[in-house]
Amino acid sequence: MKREELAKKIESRIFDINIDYPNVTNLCYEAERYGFCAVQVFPCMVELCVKTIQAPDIKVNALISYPHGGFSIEQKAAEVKDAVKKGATEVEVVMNTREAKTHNYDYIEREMKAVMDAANGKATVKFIIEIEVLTDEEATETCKAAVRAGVDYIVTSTGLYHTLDENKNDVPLYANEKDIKLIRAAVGDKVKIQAQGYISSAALAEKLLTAGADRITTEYAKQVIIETV
Amino acid sequence: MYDSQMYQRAILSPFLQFCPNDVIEREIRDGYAKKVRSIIVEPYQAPLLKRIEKECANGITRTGMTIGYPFGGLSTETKVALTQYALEQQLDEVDIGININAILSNDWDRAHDELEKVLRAADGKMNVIPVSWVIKVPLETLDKICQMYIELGIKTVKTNPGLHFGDMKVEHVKYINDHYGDKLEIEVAGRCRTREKAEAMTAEGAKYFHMSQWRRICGEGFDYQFDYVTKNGGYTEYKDRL
Repeated sequence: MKREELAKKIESRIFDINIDYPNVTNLCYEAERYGFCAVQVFPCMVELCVKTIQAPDIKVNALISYPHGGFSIEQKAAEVKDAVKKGATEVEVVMNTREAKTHNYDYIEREMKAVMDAANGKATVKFIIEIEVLTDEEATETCKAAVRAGVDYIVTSTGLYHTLDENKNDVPLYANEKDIKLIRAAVGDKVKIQAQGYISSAALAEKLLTAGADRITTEYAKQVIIETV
Repeated sequence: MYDSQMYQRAILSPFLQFCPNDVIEREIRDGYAKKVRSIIVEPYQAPLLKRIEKECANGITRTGMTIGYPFGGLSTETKVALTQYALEQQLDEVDIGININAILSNDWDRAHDELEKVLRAADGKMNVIPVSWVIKVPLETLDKICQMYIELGIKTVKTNPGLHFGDMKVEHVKYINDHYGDKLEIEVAGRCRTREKAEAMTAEGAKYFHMSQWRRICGEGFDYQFDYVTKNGGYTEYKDRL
């Protein structure tokens, strides 16, 4: 894939909060320079991004109820409204995974619908399903709920979690092709897929796109694009 | 320190993403049975916590809710709205993620203003406990953070968000206690998983310990562990490092 083509499928993200304002503005400048489709930030950074980004086609994506998804349905809707009011053009909401682990998919659907209503067509709505904690069946049922609710994107993961290697060192859980294929099989072409979670190379980004992802979100966006010929 | 004393220094947060609702409920009930210091939940779980409190209140265990855990990246308006919600739910305390992005940008006015608004929303009826970033900031910044808390009338500091953001050291506790211990009570969070470490921190001024593995540190049974291969969890042997 050519660099320009790949860049349009990349959303650059700030993954940590212990950074200063210039890190946030740099994210925006890099998005403009390399042609990324969006920047993903915490809600407290949305206004700074809106002020900084000049290119009209770069979206500002606000993380909602991130990273644990532990707000009530009403609280998520309220946070979405607040982010949109501040200028967010995309909202990325962490699903209540405990309800999915309890197989309460009606709750998931209600949550998604409430967020869609709150966004009211003014922002693209994305849901992080945290696929690494879901069984295949739980992930499939969750995806079906997303289709019923009409959300725009399913996002694979917060990218926050780690497992351990044989020496008990932290190893980040990263997005993989199997998960993308499972989601695609469940949603068909009705919902777009965003792969997220420690995508640190152009090779992995391309693999995930080939497997069916529509977009890649990564804290290594610049590195990924520079690696691409 | 006896196990019972350690329980009364333990703060639980049974809200991890891989827990089904029955596990969350069990954790809360067990916390009450063991008379832990506090049980801190995420906003949507506050009604569940209050319902169980009605059945299990023991005169010791306090109820709390996170606001912006762990990153503190919510807007000020959302933090204030959630504080008002916690007050309506009649919780005892809120753990509030501070705006560390503003602090590291030397935008102290914004960080101060936000905490002031949250405190106003708490109306003096709930303990507001800021989740600080002790292990991520230089000592001069930590000094300013603590001074801001004291100026605002905050009584308790939570050291870290926990998760995988790093390990708290005994020296961190000693530093805060030596400089601000007469004004700020210290709640430790951030990978304190052994009794030895907890006792060393207690000797240096730590009062409470906010931990995901509370059974481990209290010396009784196993905590709920998740297996990312089978995608299921259970109360099984620890596989992680201390």
